Amino acid sequence: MDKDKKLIDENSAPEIESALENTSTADTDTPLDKNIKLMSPTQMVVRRFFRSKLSIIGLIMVISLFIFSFLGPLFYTKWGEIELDESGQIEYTSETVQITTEDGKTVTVKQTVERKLKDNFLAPPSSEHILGTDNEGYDIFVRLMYGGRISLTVSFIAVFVITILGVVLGGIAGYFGGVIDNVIMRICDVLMCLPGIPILLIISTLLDAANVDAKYRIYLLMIYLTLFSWPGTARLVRGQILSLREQEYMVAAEAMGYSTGRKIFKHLVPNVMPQLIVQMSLSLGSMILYEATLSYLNLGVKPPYAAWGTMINIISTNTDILQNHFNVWGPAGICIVIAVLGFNFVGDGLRDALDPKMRR
Amino acid sequence: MLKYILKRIGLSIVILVGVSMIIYFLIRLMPVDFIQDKINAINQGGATVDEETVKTMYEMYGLGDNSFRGILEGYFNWLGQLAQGNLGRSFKTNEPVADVIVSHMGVSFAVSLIATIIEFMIAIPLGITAATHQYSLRDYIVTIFVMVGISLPSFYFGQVLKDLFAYKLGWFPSQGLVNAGGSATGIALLPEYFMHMFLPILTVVILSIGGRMRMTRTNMLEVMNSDYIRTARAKGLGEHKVIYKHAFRNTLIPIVTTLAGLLPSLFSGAIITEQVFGLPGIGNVALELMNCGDIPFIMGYNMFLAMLSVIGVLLSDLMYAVVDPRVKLD
Amino acid sequence: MKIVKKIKARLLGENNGNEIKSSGNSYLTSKEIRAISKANAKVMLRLEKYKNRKADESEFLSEMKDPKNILEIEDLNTYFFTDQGVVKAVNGVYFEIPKNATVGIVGESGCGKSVTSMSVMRLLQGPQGQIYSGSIRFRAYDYKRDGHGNPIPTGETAENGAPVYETEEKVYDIAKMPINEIYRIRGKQIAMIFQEPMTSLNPIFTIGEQLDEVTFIHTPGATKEIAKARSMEMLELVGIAAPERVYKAFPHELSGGMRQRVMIAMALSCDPRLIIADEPTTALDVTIQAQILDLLRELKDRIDGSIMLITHDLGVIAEMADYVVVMYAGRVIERGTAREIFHNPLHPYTIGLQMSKPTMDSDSDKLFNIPGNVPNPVNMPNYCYFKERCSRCTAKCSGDYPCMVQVSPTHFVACHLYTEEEKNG
Repeated sequence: MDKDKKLIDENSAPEIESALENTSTADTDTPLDKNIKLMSPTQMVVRRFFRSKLSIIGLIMVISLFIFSFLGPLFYTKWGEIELDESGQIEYTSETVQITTEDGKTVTVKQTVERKLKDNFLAPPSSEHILGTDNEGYDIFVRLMYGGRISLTVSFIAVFVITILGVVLGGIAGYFGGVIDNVIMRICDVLMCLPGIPILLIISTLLDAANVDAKYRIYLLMIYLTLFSWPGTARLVRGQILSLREQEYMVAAEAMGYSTGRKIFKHLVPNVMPQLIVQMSLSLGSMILYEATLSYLNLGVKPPYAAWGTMINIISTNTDILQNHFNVWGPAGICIVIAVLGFNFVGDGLRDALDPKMRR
Repeated sequence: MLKYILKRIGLSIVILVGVSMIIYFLIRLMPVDFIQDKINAINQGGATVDEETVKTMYEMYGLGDNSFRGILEGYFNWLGQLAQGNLGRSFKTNEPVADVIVSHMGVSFAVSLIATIIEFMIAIPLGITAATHQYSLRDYIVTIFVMVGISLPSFYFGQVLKDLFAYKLGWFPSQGLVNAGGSATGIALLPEYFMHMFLPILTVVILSIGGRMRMTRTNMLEVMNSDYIRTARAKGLGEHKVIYKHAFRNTLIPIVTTLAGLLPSLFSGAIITEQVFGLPGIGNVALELMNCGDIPFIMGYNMFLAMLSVIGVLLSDLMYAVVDPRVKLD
Repeated sequence: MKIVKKIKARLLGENNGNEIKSSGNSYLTSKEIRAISKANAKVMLRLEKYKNRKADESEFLSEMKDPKNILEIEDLNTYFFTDQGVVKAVNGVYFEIPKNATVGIVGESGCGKSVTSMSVMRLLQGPQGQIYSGSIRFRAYDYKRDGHGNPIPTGETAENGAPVYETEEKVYDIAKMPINEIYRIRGKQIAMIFQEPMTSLNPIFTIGEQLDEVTFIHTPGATKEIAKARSMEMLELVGIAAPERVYKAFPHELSGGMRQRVMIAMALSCDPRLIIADEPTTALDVTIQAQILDLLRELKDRIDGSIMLITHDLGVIAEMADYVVVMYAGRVIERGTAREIFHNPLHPYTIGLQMSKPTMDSDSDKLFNIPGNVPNPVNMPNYCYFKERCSRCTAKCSGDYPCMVQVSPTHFVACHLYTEEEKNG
């Protein structure tokens, strides 16, 4: 190559040269194609995923929240989830009392009462309580961890169930078509028109009536939520399968006489997988938001058990805490944001990595 | 076209009947019993209510029979009333449900409309710059900003804003729609409304900008990679014209379509945001009335929401045919 | 951050530089991947900056080697900086397009034909695709400009009422032009017809709007009437029977052949000196193909310009071209007049291409094919790329890449079979 014809200034040339001139020492005996080193398909996906710094940040956020919530309580055992700090301080209250004596005189007496508060509530952050205590006297830091457990578990269960329902029903609708497809799609239409929060409000009162344990009601509530949330996934799967069915390779599979099961699981499912994975990671974020909103509305996890939403709930009634005790409600909100943001970043990165349109 | 619309309306009615059935049955199973609460209140007042009165009261509200047949009858009663344009009377306020909805809809609509306009005005330019500068620093900053917005829980962000701007800085009022004890009327109320609605609108805008911006960005990227953009460049069009004339017009198709779909949802109200800021909008009222088992209102409100979303889907499909010359409905 | 790197390394399948050689299909190690992307980023940034710079006209003014030519491509290197390495899609290409000639460029898919044309138009998708070096000299017929860059009117008006401006001939080096200067060439001087008429027209504008636009961009002082008259004229020129109806139609209302005619009309709108037709008939029916080719040939005689015809169909080339350039894996391996290439093909690849063309009078019932595929041009070694597929390979072929040998004033070939001859003779 003629150096002076290069478009780039001279001083940078050696560096570029080394990058451009092939590094492999091509021996003439190996065939041309074999000299070319490419990336494996997995490498390409991973590479595209990590191309965006945001995916890395998202992954770090999600992983650290998992470690914090699931391993945290094993190492930080100072306080339990529903363990009250009963080391309340001594509180002195003085009041003036007017006493009318027998002879009609009025005497003013100052009376001081010494009272030991049972619970150490609204304690500021200290070495004893890393983030202080809430209005009941629970340790906030520890409750954040337990809250995270609930939020993450519940969201994972919900997304898992939604995906299974969506794949099965969408797959059936798309694959068999006809009346079955029509019925399933009309059910989807109806469910998609149901207003979310009002319905959950109703279901929540139903759960109350059934005397469900406070610990488990959020799980039940989210299961009900999944019953209304699968249409999105089902539509995605159905659409994919409908378009895939028209593809040549499915016609080929048909011509080869493959069984239905083989066609579905060997040919259709792997093609829907990338989109499903993306959808799952994105809906994890929205499920966490949903759970938090339910808990905030006092429909989900109820005290004394902790959830991030429940921990914020207190400020809707207590403006003193809202204004003066950020340490009570702030951290829970930050945790929610980190979790949702993390899942969104990861989902976005996965979309870029798995979308065939992005391939170059 | 007309045939298509009629077919779609017919389908929508079937969907709405399905929705109403589900909601009605769920409500009738609800344990929160408005009548029982009422009787308890009377009992506490000293008077005793005999069995007979209790029964007539239940009958009066149409809640006498809680068997499957009874509920079914109640449902068809409700449906019959609806056919005559009657949504019933709210148990709690004793006003017609339609009146309750209409009277609180205005505030919700104002908040949603202003928020939606601002949202589109910010999100679309952001989406376009992010797409035309893909993988640049600008793209990253815009993406991070809007992604944080999407990830904020509305109740949390609303409270943070309230704490900061209403309590700490005192720039805006924290609750309600009018100043407590204020005497302004008519046009003089407008600044007051504005001050009270500012924070709710801000909350809604920040939370919803992200979705719209990302949608614009994805569409724009897709359009920018299409063959006709290459043709436009080959013609000798400047990059600015390529983006804002050829690409943007195509990007607008899905945006306008969603805009039509959004139209009905402007009336439905943001339950959480209204609750946080104590706005007397439809969402806040609904939350309150739903908690006390006001069956006619719950039915009316939920059907109102379902109807809005059905209309939204229909409108956006019709809009699609209007905007995109390739689409013919039949 | 260290942990992240470790996880990333694991996911990327790092095995400390030990490559798997056994299967023969070795993959890149993560170290190499990182090295590639780092090097790529640097080069891309620099080229991108070069592309977007502001430059004075003198920087890209040039001289033609041969005044008969309208386009001269010299040592053009167009690279794509991918994750897998630098793809040298166009690798040291030389050829020229004389005035009023049709030059056909042939080759299998993936041999760099389209990338060459995209380089000429500067339509490469940045930042991955970049012209790395070389020059593309083009004889442009541009408006004379005053100190402010505005065209100078002569005071006369054309028949259609548009003002006439003074023009002058200049030679630009397109490869060195900054991207914001390219608009004086694109569409006006060099027009392009694409392969996909179905998707190449903007679906939301009418044909008329899209045609008028070309006139608006390139004719200073064009009014709506002038533009419409011009568009109608062009539609008639390309043989559209009902121009008024087509003018008002949307692209989706037309057939593929009609759309390609519209594309051609669009390309002709500003009397370009060079039309690049990138496989203009591939996506069309055979009967429509013939019509479009007839049209192109007819038009070439009418307009005072040249055509660069890109195709993989030798039949099309035989019918249309005056000169033929044969490309293989990013390089020109043989070029000459159409007569020379068809009657006296020299490179084994050209011979193979011609033999693989089905003919009626062939004795054999088996169609000839060249074994193997065009290699992916990443990390190409420095010997003849066609070596493995070649039936006439000699010991010398393992040596350096063969240089271009001139066998007649117009006929060049890059093959060791002929370097030998030259030395001997």
